[in-house]
Amino acid sequence: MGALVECVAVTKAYDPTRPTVLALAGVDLSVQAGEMVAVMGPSGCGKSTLLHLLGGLDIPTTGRVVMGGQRIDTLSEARRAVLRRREVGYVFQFFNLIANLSVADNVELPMLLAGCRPDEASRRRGELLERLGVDRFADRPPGDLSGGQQQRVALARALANRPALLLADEPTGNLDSAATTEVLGLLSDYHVAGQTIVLVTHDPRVGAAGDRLVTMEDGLVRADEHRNILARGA
Amino acid sequence: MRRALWRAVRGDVAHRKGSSLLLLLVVAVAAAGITAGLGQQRDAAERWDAAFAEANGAHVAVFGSPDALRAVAAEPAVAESSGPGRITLVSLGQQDGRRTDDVDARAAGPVRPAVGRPKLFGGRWLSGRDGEVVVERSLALDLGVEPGDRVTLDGQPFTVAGVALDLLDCFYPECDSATVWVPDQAMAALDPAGQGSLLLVRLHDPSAVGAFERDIQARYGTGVSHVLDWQDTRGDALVVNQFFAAFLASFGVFLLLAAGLVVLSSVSGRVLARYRELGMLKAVGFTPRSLTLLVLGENLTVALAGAVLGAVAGGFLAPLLQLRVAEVLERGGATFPAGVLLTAVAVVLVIVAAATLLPAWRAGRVPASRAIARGAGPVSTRPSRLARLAVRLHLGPPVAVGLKDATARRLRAGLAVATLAVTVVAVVVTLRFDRTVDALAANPALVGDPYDVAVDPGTVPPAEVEAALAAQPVASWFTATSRRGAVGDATFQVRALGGDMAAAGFAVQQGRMPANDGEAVAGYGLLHRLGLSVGDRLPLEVSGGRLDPRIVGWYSESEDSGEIVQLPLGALRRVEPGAGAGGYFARLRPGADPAAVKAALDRVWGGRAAVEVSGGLPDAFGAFRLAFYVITGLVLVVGLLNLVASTLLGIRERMRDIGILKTVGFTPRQLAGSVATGAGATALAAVLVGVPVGLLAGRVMVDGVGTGSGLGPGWGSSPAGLAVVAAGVALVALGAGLGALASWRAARARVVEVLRAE
Repeated sequence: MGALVECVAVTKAYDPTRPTVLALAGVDLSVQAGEMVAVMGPSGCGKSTLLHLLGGLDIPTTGRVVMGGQRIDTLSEARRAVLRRREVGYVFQFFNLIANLSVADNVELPMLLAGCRPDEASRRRGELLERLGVDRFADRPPGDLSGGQQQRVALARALANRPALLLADEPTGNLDSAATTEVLGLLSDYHVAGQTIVLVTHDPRVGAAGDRLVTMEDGLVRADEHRNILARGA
Repeated sequence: MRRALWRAVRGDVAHRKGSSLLLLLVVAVAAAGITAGLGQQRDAAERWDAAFAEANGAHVAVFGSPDALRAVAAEPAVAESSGPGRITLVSLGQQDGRRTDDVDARAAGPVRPAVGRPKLFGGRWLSGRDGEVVVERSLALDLGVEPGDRVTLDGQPFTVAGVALDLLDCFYPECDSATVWVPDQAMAALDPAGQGSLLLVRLHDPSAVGAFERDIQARYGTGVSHVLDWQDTRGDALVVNQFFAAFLASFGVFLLLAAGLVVLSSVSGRVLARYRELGMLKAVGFTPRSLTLLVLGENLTVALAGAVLGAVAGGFLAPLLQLRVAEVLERGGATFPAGVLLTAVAVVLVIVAAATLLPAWRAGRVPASRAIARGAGPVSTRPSRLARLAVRLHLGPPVAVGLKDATARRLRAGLAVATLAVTVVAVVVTLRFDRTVDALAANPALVGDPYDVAVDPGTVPPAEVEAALAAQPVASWFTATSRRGAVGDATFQVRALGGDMAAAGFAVQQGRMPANDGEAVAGYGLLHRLGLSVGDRLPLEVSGGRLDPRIVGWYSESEDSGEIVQLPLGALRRVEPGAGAGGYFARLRPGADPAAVKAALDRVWGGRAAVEVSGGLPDAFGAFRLAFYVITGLVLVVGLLNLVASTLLGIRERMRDIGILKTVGFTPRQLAGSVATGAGATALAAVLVGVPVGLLAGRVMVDGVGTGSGLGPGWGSSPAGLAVVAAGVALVALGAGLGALASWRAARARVVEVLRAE
């Protein structure tokens, strides 16, 4: 199976006046379709930066990022945006739902952006929210929901366009234990159904949920362990 | 605490350079407008009164025979007089033969007259030598004549010794003929017969001019041919200024309203933007009162700087808006009267303080813990009907999101619409005003001058005048001669019309022109002053007799502020059998050139009669228009700046949302489009509200001005529909464009940083 997304010799410097201070110091990582990759490491090791580069939210200083055989680090911002709409879903630690849109609007927005008809978007939104157990909040503002409920809505939004790649940045970092278990269960369900997921976490419990664990330190990949592969029959 | 407060104020003002600068600009624009406006209001009337006092101005100018005038000078009511001196109509030519104008040559000696003493504006007074003249200032300004220039009077050469101000009549070219002072000996050559004389008198009781005029006209008969009184002259000189002041005052209100709304929305926005920070300040020990003071203090600090800057700018702007009256009365240049500057600064600061009070009070009541934890309260999440509609219409998510965001904060959205709507009202009123001035220019009948060519017959007999007019492309003509009439103590002009009165073309707004000697038509100003209406009788004294015509209509007239009654010559001849027809006023056939007709008539009469072409609109309307464009421009700038500011504020508050939108796939262009949609929608709402209000306000203003100036209500023109639509479309496009520009930074913001910033 070919790589769904791949980083090759990627470095990232945020401050152009200090090009030697690197958030990523030369990372190679290849994610196969259907994998669930957990990225762990201490704060500031470059986990989130790597996630942003994988989804085309940012571009590397050097090196290249290839998605589905296409280099995405050389695309314009607009082209990357169009690519993200179809191919990538993001889930964040702080949910990042748009406060002045209702739950329903938050989930429908990416679908409408991708050219989906309003009635179709509305139908799919209904299905997604129902499956994630938050359909009764459709017309409420996100601020009314608990953390776990907001993260389910964020997950619904990330999955709205059936993306090839789901990227999750500390998806349980802001949740209590029960909500963490719930969200992790949902992610595993989608993974089992074939969804490719890359998630960044501090939490060993979450890290253990992946079938591959990448450990980072000082902007470099220190370890890359494949687990449960045989168990999943891949 | 005071030091902490000051530090916080300084820090915030410096930190928020953009919004501080905007507040500064808006306040400066408002202060500049007020300074320029106030300067203008104060100007003309005060300057005229000051000039009149300085000149020891004549309360009444009496024209007539020297003997009669000498007797008038001895009347007990007269406190002081100059003259009688000789006066005659001559033709003034410039050295290069460019122009000739009819002027009043007035005899003068080497000592300036004590009553109506001409104020020198250049050169010197007559020295007593022959061959010198002094030219009246408004004429000199119009012709570009300066001391030392050579001119001719009836072909004889003279040198201009000086330029001096005369307040006998309103200024050339609105009123003619203008005066040229000529040495006594030269006067004898210009006017050998010496029939006309002028006496300038000051009365013990300046308010009794009406009774005095009536009295001398009754007792001296034809010995007194004509009188001018200072009240009428002052009114004529200031009539345009009154128009101007009334319009300017209304526009000042627009400007202040717009500025107040801008300050309210910008300060409210600043409080919201700093919500969390205000909570923190409370956490470190600021009391609610000190937080309120903090917000008031920082806004008033910025506003004070803006107000001072604006007031100074207004001082420079004022001379550009100066009307002709003020120009004639005083040398131009930037003026900085302390009273006006202080008033402007104070008014602006009061408005800023008033508009800041509510948000400042809200700042003091910020709940600290919630503010720190959650920042500003949630915005409206109710699904916007507009946004839903946009989705249904397949206009795409950027449009839907833009509409939703534009209305997310209802109060701010409302203020942005209201501010811009004030702008739209100002624009619509200006368009109406513009059309009204065009209509006045195209139709001089609206100001009471329904003719193309006027003839003062002089020594030419009526039959000869009428024969000469018949040989020209004249459509119709009427004659007019004026007397002073009175009802009780109120005196006014009585104009007796002859010739083809029905076709004269006066702008009769209600009723009709008189059809027989028992009927009269009145200017609106007279009806207004006497409290009469069409259908009433007007029992008046004129030429020593009594008439009791029925008023069958009213018409628009700007002369004497419309305090004129017009009746048939036959009616006047009932009380004054020998009354002459007076001047002839001819309307030409379409396409005929008034200048060519004047030239032809001048050739026929060889200067025995004075022929004039209708002057059209006073020049003052030019300055008038400029002033309107300037003020409307200022209001427009304020409104649009506010739109940009509230858009920027919205973007800043939603930076995180913008990051998320980018994450889910908005392109920079879609983001710009979304913000542009919101700004465009705001502008559209403002247009929809502002246009009807503007049409109504324009009507009320124009009618108000009409009532005050004697033109009466209902004379204004509606703005051209196309112009209003074009202005509306332009404003919406401009709003959307500015919104797109404002979104530039947001569209290019790096998602990673925006999302990390929280």
